[in-house]
Amino acid sequence: MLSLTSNIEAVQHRLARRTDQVELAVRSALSANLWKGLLRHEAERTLYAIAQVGEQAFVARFVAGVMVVPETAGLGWLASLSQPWPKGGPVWPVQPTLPGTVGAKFDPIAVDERAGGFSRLLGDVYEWVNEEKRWVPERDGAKNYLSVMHKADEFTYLLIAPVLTEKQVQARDALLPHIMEFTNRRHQQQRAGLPPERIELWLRSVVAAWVELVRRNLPAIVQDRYERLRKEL
Amino acid sequence: MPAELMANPVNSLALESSVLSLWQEFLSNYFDGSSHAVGAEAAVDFPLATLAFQQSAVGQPLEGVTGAGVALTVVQSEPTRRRWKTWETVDGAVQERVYQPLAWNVWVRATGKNARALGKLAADRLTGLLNNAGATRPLAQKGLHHVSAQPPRIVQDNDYSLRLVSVQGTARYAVRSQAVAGH
Repeated sequence: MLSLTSNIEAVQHRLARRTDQVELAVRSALSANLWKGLLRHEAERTLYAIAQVGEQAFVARFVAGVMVVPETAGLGWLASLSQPWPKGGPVWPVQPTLPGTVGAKFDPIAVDERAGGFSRLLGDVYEWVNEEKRWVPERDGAKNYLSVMHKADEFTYLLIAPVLTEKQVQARDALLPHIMEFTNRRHQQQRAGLPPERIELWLRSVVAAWVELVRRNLPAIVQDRYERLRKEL
Repeated sequence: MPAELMANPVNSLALESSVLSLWQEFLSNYFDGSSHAVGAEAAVDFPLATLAFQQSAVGQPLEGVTGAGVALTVVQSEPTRRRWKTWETVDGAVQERVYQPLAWNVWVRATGKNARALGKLAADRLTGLLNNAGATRPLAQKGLHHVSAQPPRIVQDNDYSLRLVSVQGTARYAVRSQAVAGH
């Protein structure tokens, strides 16, 4: 006797399960926690790459602000970024005495008081060496954290040592105006806030980087999640 | 034929730095203010550009070699896919062969009177260069394969021109985890 059976229900079940898997994979690939981390890192990388000398100090605050966009699409943070910068202030050097320019003796103790400690002075000199000093690899070697810190250490010693040779005094007098100019410029900039045109450029850059990040990664993440789900189910 | 690169191949123990060294040498061979053939294409002019990597700040106004008003900053981005591995035997030794998808954002900046034209030219040349398999062959020989670039995305286009070129590729390198056959 001939009997006909059908597996259509099993096929339909498998198809339904497959559809569920795809939906789950997409939902999992769009997880806010996953993207928040990716977007934050991309914004940081982008801004540190396009920041001009002296602007790096704004990056962390800008990133914190710009992360509001994917969460709430609020843009009120733009106004806050153009407000005066609350941190920092007139620290090193307010007006250090320069031998030969104001007729006063260089006073390391005065520098120490104004700077709020040698570590702050060393930090400023480090930033100057890292960001502005012309680095010649043949003369200065490979540029990395240690070599920059070594130079900063060397220059800071010249600035604060009470007894120097004639040659060291000349070196110090040559360096000091550049470090002063850099530090004062940076502090003025920090007090003034990031100019509106730079805020706009930073925002556009971050959004452009985000668009590329999503375009590159979303299909791969969906596929990855789908394959993982298929293995699990 | 594009010149072979002198930098070391992609290295499992120095993935980021070896890849960036390859980019540095490759890009500096082209963006030197001279004419270069791209693959089998006729020679075209490339602007002189200052190269920067990851977080190193570019001075403002753009500085570097005299006449350079363009800067290319290569920033490594999130890898698009997980890496995958195969095994291979080289001279009797078994080693892992790793394929690591990578992505970079190249920020093309130009300043000055000719910023728009210069930025556009640099971004166009970069995209054309990276999408030419003949031109990127030296990168592949050192372990950087399937390099491709998206069309430039304009971020700002006035006397400070900023464009983003999104680049993808696959780093292929060996992990010598076992010195003798058998795995």
